[in-house]
Amino acid sequence: MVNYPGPALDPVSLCTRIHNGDRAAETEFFIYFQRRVRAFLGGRTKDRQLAEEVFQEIMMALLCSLREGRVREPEMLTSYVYGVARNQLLEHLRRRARERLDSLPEGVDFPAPQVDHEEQQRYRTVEREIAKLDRDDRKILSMTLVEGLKPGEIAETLRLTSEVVRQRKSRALKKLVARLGFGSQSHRSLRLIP
Amino acid sequence: MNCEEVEQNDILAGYITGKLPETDRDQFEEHFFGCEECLQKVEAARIAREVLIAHKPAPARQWWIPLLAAAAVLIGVLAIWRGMTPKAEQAPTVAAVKPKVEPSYELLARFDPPSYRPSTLRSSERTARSFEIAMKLYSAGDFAGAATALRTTNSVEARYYLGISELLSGDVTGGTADLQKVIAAGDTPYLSEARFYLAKAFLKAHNVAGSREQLEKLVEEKSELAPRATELLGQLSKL
Repeated sequence: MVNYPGPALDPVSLCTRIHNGDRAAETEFFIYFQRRVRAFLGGRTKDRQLAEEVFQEIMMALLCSLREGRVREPEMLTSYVYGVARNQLLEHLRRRARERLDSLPEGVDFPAPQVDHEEQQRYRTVEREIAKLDRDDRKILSMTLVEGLKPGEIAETLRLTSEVVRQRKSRALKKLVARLGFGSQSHRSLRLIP
Repeated sequence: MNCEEVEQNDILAGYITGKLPETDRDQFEEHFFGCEECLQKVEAARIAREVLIAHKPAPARQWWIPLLAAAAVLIGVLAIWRGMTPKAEQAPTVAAVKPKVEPSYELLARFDPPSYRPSTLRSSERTARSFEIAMKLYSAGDFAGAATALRTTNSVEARYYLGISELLSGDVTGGTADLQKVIAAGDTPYLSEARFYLAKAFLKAHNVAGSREQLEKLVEEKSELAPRATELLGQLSKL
């Protein structure tokens, strides 16, 4: 069983409720968009600590604009969130570049990033599911997601047709999605909301 | 962009491996912000990629090296035993075969980050801004941060420094792929250097043949890096 379509979103009502000080609406907003923002950061950076720092900044900036009613087209909330996420990441990198150029004082200990148990659990689930996959399906996933090969290239190596490769890749990925149970995710890091 | 286009054009795999052109990447990101199905696939694929990289089998070791060493020891022992036996004829001298040591690929794969030379080529304002940020991070030794920023630009120069940054932050697969793209771009100011660092990347992955091929091309092309390539080839032949 696959988890789509996921939670429904009424962007106009959500924006209005947050602007009117409804804290439950802020939580709804957070639950809906946190996965999207995290997926975006995961695609743009492999540095988890950096992703977590920027995530906090993005969500904070978004909540501030929603509270102050700065979203001009509430029906375009999704695009607005994406735009803010992109700009905040660039802004963060620019700031980081400036800070890195100034020498750091000696003896500064940075706290270690917190272990995310939910993420670890998902990792273990995927690990188990990948181990259960047929050898060729595992190869197809690896050639697709690690080596970045196209179905045609994989088909040549494994002596299959492109269509079979496409189908097997899609089936394997759907299995993983089904096992991950995204619908039941908790809303971590709600500390953002004061 | 819609789900069908994502499926037909292998957008998801391109996104996860960081190989998607900038415009497709932005369109796909905007799409999955509004599409639960694609979002779930991105999340699953990202974790799957991490798992598959972590479980990737180590490159095949040269199984004959320990056998050769054992055979050398055995021959040596036999030679000594025959030499100590009174009635034995004078045995032909058997040169002690020195057991081969594990090749130090890691050592040869190491390199200092090439210094950044600002290019005089013009680019769009947004691209230039991202690139400037990235190169500040690069110059400050923050290679993971530089790689993140460099993925937002798409020039050959950015691709070259992205490959280097990825290698220096431990992403050998990404670094190899990006340097290969720089080489595939043809006769650019980064061709020779990309070859040299690709040879290093191959060494890191214990792919000696791949490394040797790039170094030999540098020598053939009489590149300014040819002396360094020759030296590295010499060191490789000693392994």
